[in-house]
Amino acid sequence: MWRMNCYSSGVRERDMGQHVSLFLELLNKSSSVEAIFGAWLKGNGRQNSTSAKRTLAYGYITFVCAIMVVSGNSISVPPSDLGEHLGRLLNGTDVSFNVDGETFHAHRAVLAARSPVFHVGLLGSMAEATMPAITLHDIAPAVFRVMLRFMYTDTLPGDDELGTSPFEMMQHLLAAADRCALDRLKLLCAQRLWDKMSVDTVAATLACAMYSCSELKNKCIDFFAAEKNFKKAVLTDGFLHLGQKFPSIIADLRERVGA
Amino acid sequence: MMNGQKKRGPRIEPFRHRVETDPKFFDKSWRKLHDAIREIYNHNASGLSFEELYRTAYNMVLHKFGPKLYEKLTENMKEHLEEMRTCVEAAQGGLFLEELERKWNDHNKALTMIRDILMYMDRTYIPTNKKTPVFDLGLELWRDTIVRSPMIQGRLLDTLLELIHRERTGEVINRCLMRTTTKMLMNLGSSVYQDDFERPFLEVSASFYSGESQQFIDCYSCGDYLRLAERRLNEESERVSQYMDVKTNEKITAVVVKEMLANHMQRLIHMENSGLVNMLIEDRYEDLTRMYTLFNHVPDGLTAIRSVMMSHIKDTGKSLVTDPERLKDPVDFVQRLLNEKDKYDNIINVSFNSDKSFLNALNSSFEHFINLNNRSPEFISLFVDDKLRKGVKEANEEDLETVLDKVMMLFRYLQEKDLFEKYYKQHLAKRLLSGKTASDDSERSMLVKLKTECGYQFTSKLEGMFTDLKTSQDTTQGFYASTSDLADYPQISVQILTTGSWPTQPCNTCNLPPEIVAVSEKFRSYYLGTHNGRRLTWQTNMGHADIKATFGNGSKHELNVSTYQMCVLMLFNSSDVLTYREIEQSTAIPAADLKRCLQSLALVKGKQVLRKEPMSRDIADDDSFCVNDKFTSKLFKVKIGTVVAQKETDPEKLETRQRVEEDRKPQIEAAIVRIMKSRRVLDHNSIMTEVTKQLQPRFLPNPVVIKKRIESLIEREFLERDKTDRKMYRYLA
Repeated sequence: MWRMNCYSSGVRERDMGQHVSLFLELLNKSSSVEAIFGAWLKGNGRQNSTSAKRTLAYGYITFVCAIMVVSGNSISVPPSDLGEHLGRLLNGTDVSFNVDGETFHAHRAVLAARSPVFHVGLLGSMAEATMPAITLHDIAPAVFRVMLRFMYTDTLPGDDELGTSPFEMMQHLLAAADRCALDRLKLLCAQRLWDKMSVDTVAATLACAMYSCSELKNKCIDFFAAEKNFKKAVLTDGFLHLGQKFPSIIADLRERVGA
Repeated sequence: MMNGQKKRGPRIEPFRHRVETDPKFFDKSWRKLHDAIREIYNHNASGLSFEELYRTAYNMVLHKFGPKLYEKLTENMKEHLEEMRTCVEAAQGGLFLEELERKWNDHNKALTMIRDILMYMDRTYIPTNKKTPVFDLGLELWRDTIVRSPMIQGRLLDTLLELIHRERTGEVINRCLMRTTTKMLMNLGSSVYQDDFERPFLEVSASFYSGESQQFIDCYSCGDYLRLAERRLNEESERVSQYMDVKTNEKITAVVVKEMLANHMQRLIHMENSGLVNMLIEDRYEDLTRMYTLFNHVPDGLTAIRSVMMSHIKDTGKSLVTDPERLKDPVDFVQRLLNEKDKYDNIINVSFNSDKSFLNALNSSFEHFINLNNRSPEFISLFVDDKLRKGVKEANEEDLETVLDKVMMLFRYLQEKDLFEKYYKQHLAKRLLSGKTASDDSERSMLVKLKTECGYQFTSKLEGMFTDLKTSQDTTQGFYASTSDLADYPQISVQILTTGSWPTQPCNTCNLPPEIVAVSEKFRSYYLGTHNGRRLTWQTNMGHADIKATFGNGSKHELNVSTYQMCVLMLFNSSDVLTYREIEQSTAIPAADLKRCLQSLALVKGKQVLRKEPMSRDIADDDSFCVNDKFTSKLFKVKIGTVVAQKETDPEKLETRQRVEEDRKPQIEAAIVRIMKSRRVLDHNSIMTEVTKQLQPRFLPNPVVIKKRIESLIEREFLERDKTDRKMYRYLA
């Protein structure tokens, strides 16, 4: 229980009633608590302040007080460790994937839980539901490895663990995530790609994001259209390829730049 | 999780979108899907590779073939559905619904798998281009190709309605099949369910129940018909819960209620020999409850019941209070009213859910007819008097309390409460003075009830009566303690009544026997010695005496008689025979009272203390009286004709009413003055309304009287008329 003590003429004699004092008091003396306390004057529409000299409007003044209890008699709970635990799961695998010669073992239930596509494939009524080994096409083993790791741990490894060309890896991963309906993974990749955004990379990124990730695509276009970038980006090889493969992008750009 | 190769820096190809150069790409891909769909519809899905099919569709969409794929899909599903339709159309009779259900299940299964294969298109192309998702598309195609196809649509509805009709006439049908069929319609959209089934269902039901009601309204009693209606309502509810959408319940209930109840409401209520009035008379709680519950669904149903109940109560009440036979016994009269109230309280609480509007109707009905008889206030007071007298059947105090509470209910209905007050005072006085109160506590309890109901001023004088008696007791005791000189005199007990608290009775004092005169004068001087400035007048028309009598045949008795009777009897100590005229002269008792007195002494069987010559009932001046020496009685103490509160004779009634009217005049004037003082200026009609409202707790003022009072107040210059508007009055300070 808290109490606000308000002294309209201050608390110290030497202040001669020149200000109002506000004190926060904890009523149950038996416990101790850490708290952050803030108080300010409610401004008339504009800013709130603690020290403005204001004339009273209609004789009223409003104090706003906020109390945030930081720590106290509560039980601390560690953050979620689900991904950690699943990531360490080695036994009980009931399916294996052949990806371009490499084999990966996994648990149907976990993959089905994480992706609707895998859900249908692994637990549905077609052939794969009863096949012990499944062949995946059109995906590189390295990419699959990272994607599989994500499905268990919900995390992406840092660039140093992503092989010789993390940038390329991200692009492949983005496409794979889109194909397998792993939306969070897709956005994580998009974020990484965006972090590496430069006039040299924008074209390639845009090419990758064209059909797979509209958020990234829009950001690329914005980046392209920004004046300081446009001149340089337009002259890269990547842009040339972009224009050839995706003529529509030129139209989008034109619109964006407002030519 | 993974035991693939140890990690080495893997070589990744630069990311490149694949460009499809094969012109037959779409056709080849579509062929794969087309064949797969065929297998799916043929229940052969388990051999298909999901990975391959999903990847095929994925690539098609990626290469911008989404629109074409969607188009092909639509076409293809239609074809399959058309094949299914042929099968359904071909089904014979009872197998129709079964075949439909079978095909529906097949289609659902297939549709799920098709949607799974085309999941990528569902997530990308379809939302972007605002197309109908695959699953919903499949349902729409089903609806249009099968359910609404000309050959099937009508047949489906007819089949469903036919089955429902059969069930209504008592047959058992396949409810499971009904449920899956209606569920299918619901899955196709609420408008499909409503248009293709619910609306026609409701129409057909309406005509079914219209026919049903016509058939039975003519030959069933009201109770039986209501039972039928209730059964049908329950059946329909159950039917809906078993195989229809829950929202249909409300609608079908409305249909049944309308056809079976609302359309025949008046006829049912007023049905001869079995309608509402009969149910009320015979206390048929079950039927009444049913009627209330059912008519609650009908617009204005309860209003109809209530108004019929009200007029019935008013009619029976009116005949009760105006029946000359009933008026002969006031206590019975009131008891019947109480019984009637109890009866309807029970009916309303048991069958009408203690519905407040019904209780209000009951109250206003009672209020209406109780006041049709202007003797009701008197009779109710007599009833209470009867209950509060000694020797009463309700020896139990709790029961008495209950009865008095119920009587208070009746009291509340009275318009002329001031009249009741007058009578109650009279009757209470008689009870107190003759010592006939059964229980002081009950008397007080009754006073409290009246005070709660009417306020302090109603009961203050009544309480004064009790106080007087207590004081009198003390005074009498004090009298006897004050002197020892009283041994030779007859013992007296005096009750001193404060004028104003007690009902005024005109009294001419009669001539008391000398022994009595002596001791009473002693008392008078004792009393006036201690109470200065007061005046005592003996009320010889009240009071009683115990006389020790020795008869000629030797029998000794103690006679309990009234004061007047005492005066008469004591005369026979000095004379053997006396004529009426002589008695009248000696005692100076008023003629009417004296005649009654002599009648009670000489003509009541078993109490004939005197003999009258001649034995006729009427008393002529020359009739002679003497002591009956042959008098016998089994009891030693004989009571002769106690002064019991009788209902008034007509002249007495008139007198009481006149007095009440007189008392009302000042009350009306006081009300007028109060109102005018606060409002200053007011028009005639408003004064009327206000005055009536103010006086309503006590009585209903007569407008003519109010007008007269206003005139009188104007004369006495309390009010004046407005100069310009004759209808306005002004208060004069």
